[in-house]
Formats: sequence, structure tokens, C-alpha cells
Amino acid sequence: MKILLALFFITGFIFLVSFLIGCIFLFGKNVPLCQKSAYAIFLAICMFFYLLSSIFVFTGGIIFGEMEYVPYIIFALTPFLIGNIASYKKLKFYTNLQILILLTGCVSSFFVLFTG
Amino acid sequence: MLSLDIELIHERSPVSAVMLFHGLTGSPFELRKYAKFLYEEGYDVFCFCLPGHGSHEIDIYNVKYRDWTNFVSEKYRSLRGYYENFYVGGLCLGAVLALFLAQKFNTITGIICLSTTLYLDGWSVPKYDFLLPLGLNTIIKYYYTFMEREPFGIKNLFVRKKIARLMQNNTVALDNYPLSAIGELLTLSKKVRCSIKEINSPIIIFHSAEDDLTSRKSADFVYKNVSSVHRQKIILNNSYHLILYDNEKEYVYKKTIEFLSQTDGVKHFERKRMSVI
Repeated sequence: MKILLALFFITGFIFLVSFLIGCIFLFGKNVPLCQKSAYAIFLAICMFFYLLSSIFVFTGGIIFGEMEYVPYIIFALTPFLIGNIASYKKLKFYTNLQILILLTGCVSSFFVLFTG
Repeated sequence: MLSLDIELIHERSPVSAVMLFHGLTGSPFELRKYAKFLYEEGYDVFCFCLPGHGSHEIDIYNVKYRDWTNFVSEKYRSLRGYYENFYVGGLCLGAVLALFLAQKFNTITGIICLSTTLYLDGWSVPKYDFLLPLGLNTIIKYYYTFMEREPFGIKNLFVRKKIARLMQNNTVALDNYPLSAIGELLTLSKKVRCSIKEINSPIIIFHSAEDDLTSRKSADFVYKNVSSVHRQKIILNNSYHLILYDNEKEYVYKKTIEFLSQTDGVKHFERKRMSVI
């Protein structure tokens, strides 16, 4: 379970940092559209592995009977929830919300990994 | 702001009119020559700029498919009463909207479908399209845009260069497709596919065998599933997606007029028969 949680932390951290880099240096800046799009594809790939790791943690929690890991499925569901309620007008708000959730996932998994 | 709408109306109103819709991120400009041709053949022609288009680029990110369907329904209702025969048609997204109207209103005389986009499975669609469900349902849909690229939907090299220049200036069409707008198109396409059997108006479907954006699967699906008695499917072998500008455009024009004349004739015969009965 620790390995799965570590995987979740790593993928979440990479996704979070990539998202932040994109928001600060690329999106909303005067950067060619094709570069923004290419970076968006990279983010989608990061998200894919992040979602997968979240599902692994959830599944591992069920299989090994460690129910404290079951809530990690929320981190797999929230990107889709945000995606379906988000609007372009409030994009900044929903992006910040997504980043906050990513941060929460990273912090909680870090806490569990290194404090027991 | 200058209107991009095209309204070609004869002084003495003819019996028949055609309403056409442009493609995703396009404008009525892409239907201009086709509209002019139909007008010269005696039809009043209307091409309206769809919501989210023809204005500041940011609007295309906010638009929902209901904005399109409400808009076309309203336009149809406002014009139908003036003509005995009223046809609807369109290119790409426009064709899907024409099918939507035909499902909603049984008073449509005929439908003209040009490069109908019910599926995004053409040969130029990127290989990473397996990420599409992820992109469409998360916030990434507002960050990714599909860039127009070679061959820009045109097989003819000379025309392709001209279109590429126009797109790069973003004057008559955007040179990119925001993923959020693609998502709305796909949602609308799915709804149209589910109710396709409700269509029973005469229909003509044009599609390129080598369409770079949407394969002939879309055309085959429409042809196979509509309930129309009078239906035609024309597969073009020397064009890509923008068939109104490509190598076989004259053939498309010619077959459109044949379809309209035949359908006008059928309606005229049916009216005469009804008046005798």
C-alpha cells in the first residue's frame, strides 16, 4: 500500500508542478497556440497517470482491507466533476480549485507516507 | 460590427428557399459561392453566422450546443412561413444542425448534408485522440485547441494555399478548434445520432471518401438510418473535407440543383394530386 501511495504522491506532484508551470509561464501569455496545445497534451498525460494511481490506491485499500485509503478515489473523481461544472468565464477559479485539490492530495499522501 | 450573414433574396419571392449553416469555427463566408450559385438558380438563400462565431474569439469557448440548436430553430421558424418549399443544409457542424432541424420539424422540404460530422475519425485526426474523453471531461478542454494543419481540408494544392492564408489571418475562419467547442459538437452529434430515425424529409448526403476530419462512416450512418424515402448518398473520390472548395465542387453544385429540382417537382406533383383528390 505504501508503494501505491508513493506512486500517487509522485504522479500528483508531477501533475501539480506541471500545471503550475503551465499556468504561470504558458497559458494566458503571448505564447503560440500550438505550444500551449502541446503542453495541454502533456498535462493530459500527467493527469491520466495521476488518475490511474488514485484508482490503484482506492483498489488497494479495498483489497487489503485498509479503508483509510478508500477516500483517495475522490482525487480520481474531482477532475471530472470540475470539468463538468467549469465554465470559461470562471476558468481561473476552477483552475485554482483543481490546483488546490492536487495540493491536498499531495500533502495528505506525503503526511501518511512519512508519519505512519 | 459588420454582419457576416448572407441573405440572398430575389425581388419577387420564389417558391423555394435554402438555409445553410457553416462549419465549426467557420463563417457564412465558406458557403458564399455555393449560396450565390443556388441564388442564381432561382432560390432565396440564407446563411447565418452561428453563435460563438464571427465575433471575438473568446466566444467560441463559451458557446454550448443548445445555443446553436436554439438559434437555428428560431431562424427556421421565422423564415418557414414565407416559402412553399424550404430546404436546410450545411457543412460539417452545419450538416449536423440541418439534421437536428429535420428531426424537430417535419415541415422541412429537403436536407442537404455536406461533410456531415457525426464522428471525428478522419485520417488527419491526431493519434493521441485516445486522450479525448479525458480532455473533454476535465478542465483541460479549455486549454487545448486543435490547430488547423495541412491539408486544411482541401486536396487541391492551389486552393489549399489560398485557404491556409485566410485561416492564418483568422478573418473568415479560425485556424484552430478549441476542445470545448469540439466537445459541444460531439454532444450534439450524439443526440442527432440517437434520433436519426425521426428524419423523413428527402435528403442528399455528400461526403468525401478521403475526408481528413470525418470518415465516410458519418455519411453511411445517416444514409442507412434516416427514414426518408427519397435519399441519395454521393461519395466524392477527389476531395477532402471542404468539398465546396475542392476538386469536385462543380459536381456538388450540379447534384444539389438536381436534388432541389427533383424535390420541388415531387412536392409540386403531390400538391397537384392532393388538389385533385
